[in-house]
Amino acid sequence: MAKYLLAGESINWLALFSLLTFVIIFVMALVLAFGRNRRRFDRIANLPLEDGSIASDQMNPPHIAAKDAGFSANGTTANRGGLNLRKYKMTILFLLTTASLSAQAEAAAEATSVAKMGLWESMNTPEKLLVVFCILMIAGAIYSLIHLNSSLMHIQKMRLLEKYAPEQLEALNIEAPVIQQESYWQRFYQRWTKSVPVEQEADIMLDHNYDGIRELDNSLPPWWLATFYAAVIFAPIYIWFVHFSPYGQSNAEQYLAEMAQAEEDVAAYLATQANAVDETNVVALIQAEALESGHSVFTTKCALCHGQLGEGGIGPNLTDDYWVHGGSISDIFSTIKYGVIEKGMQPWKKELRPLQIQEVASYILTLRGTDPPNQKDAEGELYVPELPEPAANDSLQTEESLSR
Amino acid sequence: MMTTTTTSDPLEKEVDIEQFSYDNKIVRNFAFATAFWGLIGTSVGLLAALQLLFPSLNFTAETTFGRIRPLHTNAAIFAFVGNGIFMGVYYSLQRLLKARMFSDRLSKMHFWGWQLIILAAALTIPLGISTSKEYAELEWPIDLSIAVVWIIFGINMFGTILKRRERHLYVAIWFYIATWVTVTVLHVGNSLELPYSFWHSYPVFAGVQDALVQWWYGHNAVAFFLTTPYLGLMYYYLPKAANRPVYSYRLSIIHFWALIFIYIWAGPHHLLYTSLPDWAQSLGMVFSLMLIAPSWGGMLNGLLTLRGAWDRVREDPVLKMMVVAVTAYGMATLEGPLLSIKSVNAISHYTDWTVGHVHIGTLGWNGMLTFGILYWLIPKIFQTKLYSRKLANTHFWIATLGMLFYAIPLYWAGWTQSSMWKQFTPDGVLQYSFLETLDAIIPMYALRAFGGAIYVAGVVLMIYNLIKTVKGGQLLENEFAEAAPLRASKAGHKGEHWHRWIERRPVQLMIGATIAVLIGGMVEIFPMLMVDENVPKIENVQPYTALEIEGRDIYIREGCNACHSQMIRPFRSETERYGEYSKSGEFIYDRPHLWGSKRTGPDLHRIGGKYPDSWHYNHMYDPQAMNETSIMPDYDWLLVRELNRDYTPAKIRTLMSLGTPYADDYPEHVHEDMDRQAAEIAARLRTDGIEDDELESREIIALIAYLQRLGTDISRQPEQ
Repeated sequence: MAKYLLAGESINWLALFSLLTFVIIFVMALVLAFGRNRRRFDRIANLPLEDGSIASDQMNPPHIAAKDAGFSANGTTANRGGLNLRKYKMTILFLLTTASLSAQAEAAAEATSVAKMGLWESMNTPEKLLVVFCILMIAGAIYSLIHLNSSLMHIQKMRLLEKYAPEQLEALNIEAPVIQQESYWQRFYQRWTKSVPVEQEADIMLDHNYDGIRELDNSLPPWWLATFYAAVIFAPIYIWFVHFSPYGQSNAEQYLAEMAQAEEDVAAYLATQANAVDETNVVALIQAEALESGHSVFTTKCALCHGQLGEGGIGPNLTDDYWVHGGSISDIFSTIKYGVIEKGMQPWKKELRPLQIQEVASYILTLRGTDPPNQKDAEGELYVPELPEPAANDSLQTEESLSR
Repeated sequence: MMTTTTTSDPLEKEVDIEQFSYDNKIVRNFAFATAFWGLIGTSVGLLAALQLLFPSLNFTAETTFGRIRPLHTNAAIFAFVGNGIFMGVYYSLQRLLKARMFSDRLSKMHFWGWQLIILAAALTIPLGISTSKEYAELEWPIDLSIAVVWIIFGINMFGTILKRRERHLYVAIWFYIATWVTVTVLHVGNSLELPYSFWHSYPVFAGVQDALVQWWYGHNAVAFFLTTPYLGLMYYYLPKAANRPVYSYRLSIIHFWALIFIYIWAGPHHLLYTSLPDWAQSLGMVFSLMLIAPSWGGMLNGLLTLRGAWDRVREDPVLKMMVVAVTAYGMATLEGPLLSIKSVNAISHYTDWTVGHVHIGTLGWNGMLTFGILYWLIPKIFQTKLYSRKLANTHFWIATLGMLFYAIPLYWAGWTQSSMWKQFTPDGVLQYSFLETLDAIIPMYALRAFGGAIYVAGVVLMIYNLIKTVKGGQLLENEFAEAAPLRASKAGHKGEHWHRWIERRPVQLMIGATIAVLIGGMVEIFPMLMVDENVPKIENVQPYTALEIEGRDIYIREGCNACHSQMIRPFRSETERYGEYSKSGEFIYDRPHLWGSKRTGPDLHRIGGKYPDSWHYNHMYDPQAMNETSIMPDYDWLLVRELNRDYTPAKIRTLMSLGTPYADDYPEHVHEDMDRQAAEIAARLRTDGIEDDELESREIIALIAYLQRLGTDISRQPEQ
């Protein structure tokens, strides 16, 4: 995972940014939901739901009731300001969330794009449309739920203020309630939920009563129904597209296409690599770094069967002069690359790059004559290296040739 | 118990009011069992999580991860959630129907029968007695007991429904009925198996057919054991606890029928990009997407029922837990369909993403709802108040955080590992070895274990709180109630909703639900069984030898399939890593299929011939000696235990009667054949320096025989 934050050598700022944004939004959401709004929740709790439930002593004198409910003259405007502010906050939060999500998606896509298996790229068009649709749907649903709360507040306020005569309100310097036109969002919300407000729910209470549980007769939420219809309509289209239209691909066809594409890409890449190594042109490397890297590959991959020092084990001894499949650099290279399956030597061409094979083969050449303890008996044929040896300017090589 | 008094009613001249009582004792028993098994199930899960971090925690053969994982899933699903269902149903059913349970004796038999089954599971799974089928690991004698106890539950429930004093069935009861009939069908369908000994059997279906039946079951065990009964519970306990009317009756109707009808179809989404025919995969995917709305119907009806009660949600731990439960349900049921989109599944499948996903469901939805119900119900039946609201609130926060700490790291781990699996260098070589992809996510495993640990701590806190509550109260064993009996007429009244008709007719409701759940399964399973083209034959594929069968059964016993898949998907990243992708024709003798669902270790379908015999021998003895960062447990007992050959002829005969084409006299000659093959393997091991005079008779030889056979048939020339 750290690999994504540290893409290559440098820091992947996109991934870091998205991670931070995610955490911040998570905390903000928690704070918003459980911290800052405590007072608001309390106020809602104190609002009378039923007309009859406002006791007369609370109503009289009215300014106390108004104060109780938290709507003093100044409070009204302040509160409205608060509502607006909150709306802005919500919008910002929403934008941030979207930004973070898209950043996440981009980071993820970037992480996988090299492999040509990015989530987005790998989808076909109907799937892409579906995902976009789902995201929009979720965003809409979340916004609606948030909005529900403030709408309820607003309605309660209206109802409360309506109870008092305009003169009374004027005397108390409270603005007379103005029936405000519903905002776009309020209308949108109403149209997409068709929800009967809590205070009118008596109208839609069914005569069902199960151990005290009552049921309301609210409509199916239209947005919910729309998603259901959309999925139902999508199903036959998808089946037609994949199985009956000329555009669909079976799993097996997708696989062939993927392989063909990969072959093309690899060939194109190799064409740009002038010195691609294979068994026909491989030479033994003598640079210390190359041998060191060959050594580390040897330790992790080869030592299991050939011993930590090449003394042999399940596999043959690599330190003597006898070779089962040839002891030249190109023989060793190709034995590693293609393996000898019937003898248990696995092919490494899919797990090691050509350069790595060259390095490890070169390292194996340096083991010759090191005479480690517990050597396995010689197998195969004697191989005498052709002279001259590669120009030996490395001390290790020199010593070795001398000792031989 | 029941007395009848006659009172006068101004509208109807005379109404008999019957007096009766509700059975709270059975509710208490199930509640205690729920809490107890909740602790056991989550603790075993914690052990499994820690084993992935510290392989040394695989203490003995009985406690290796391969056996602990099924123990955890079975304990969580059938012991914890199972008892939770019964607790919730026995309490709510009586009150919703205004009737005591049909028979106290059946209730008692149900309770003790279920606990015995759990006990049997808790003993047999660590002993390696397993069918290998996920969430259906229990062997045939236990399967039969489950059927008996389930039928007892059914009789008790329907008996109560038939003697009810409430004309109409409430939505919770529709869900209970659908649960009962569907689980019956699923359990029978997936447990069709032929025993060869008292503790072991082979399934009737093989390979891809077995896989389809298994995931038809596995998916719908989630649907009809973890979801529908809990939706029923939600419909009772949430409105009760919130004291609010259910938001929409119409929504209940539509989402109930749509949910049970569509859910059944979605099973194949567990097998996307496998050898399952493409048409079945497509059906699985589109029906999963259609499930979003019906599932969300339940969430909406739950959350919107809380309108006007949100102020109390902030204060009341019961409501808080229910809100998180319903929200987690909504999240998991949105995530599930998205995960069944094929291109998403190509990334998520076999990774920890799936594990994270199911834990949102179990820790969030099932766990939180159960906790909420326990906190609400225990004080009620013990006629007291909850000992400590504060502790319950603490539990709420711990559990919520535990759930997040559990799931989020696993999402990250799944995505990371999958991306690494698929990464190629520009010259066309896989960038990471399997072990490197595992090393990369170990820190995530640590975070997950932390999340699991605090979740378990929450359960401990709850149990303490409940014990204190119980001690401070007194159980009201028989709760007095009175109600008028049902009048004879079934007629509805004018203007009522059309659905009221079936709500008065439990038998018709049950039949309707049965038809709804049968359609999807039949459409998908029958063609797979009957149309040969769905499993194209491959000439070279031959039955396993007797020794390989024994090795395969060891593989099952050790639960290797918990971490290793045997299903290479047709992706470049998989065929380059593991070999040619798996074909359905290769599995026709696989009883049961061992495709697996999670790759904690690499796929093994083409492991045959990849390494020398001695590699496997040494690797089983000490995996860390060969790969330092491997998290595979040691299986050193395989090197010393003697292979039990007593049942081999019976096994072969059973397989023959299921259709595996062995030569007629093969059962008589199995031991000779086994000796021959074992001698070959032992000879190869000795050449590689392994010294053991009784090598031929060890269990490891059979396992090596099986592993070396895996996936090789397809490339071998047919023998004459």
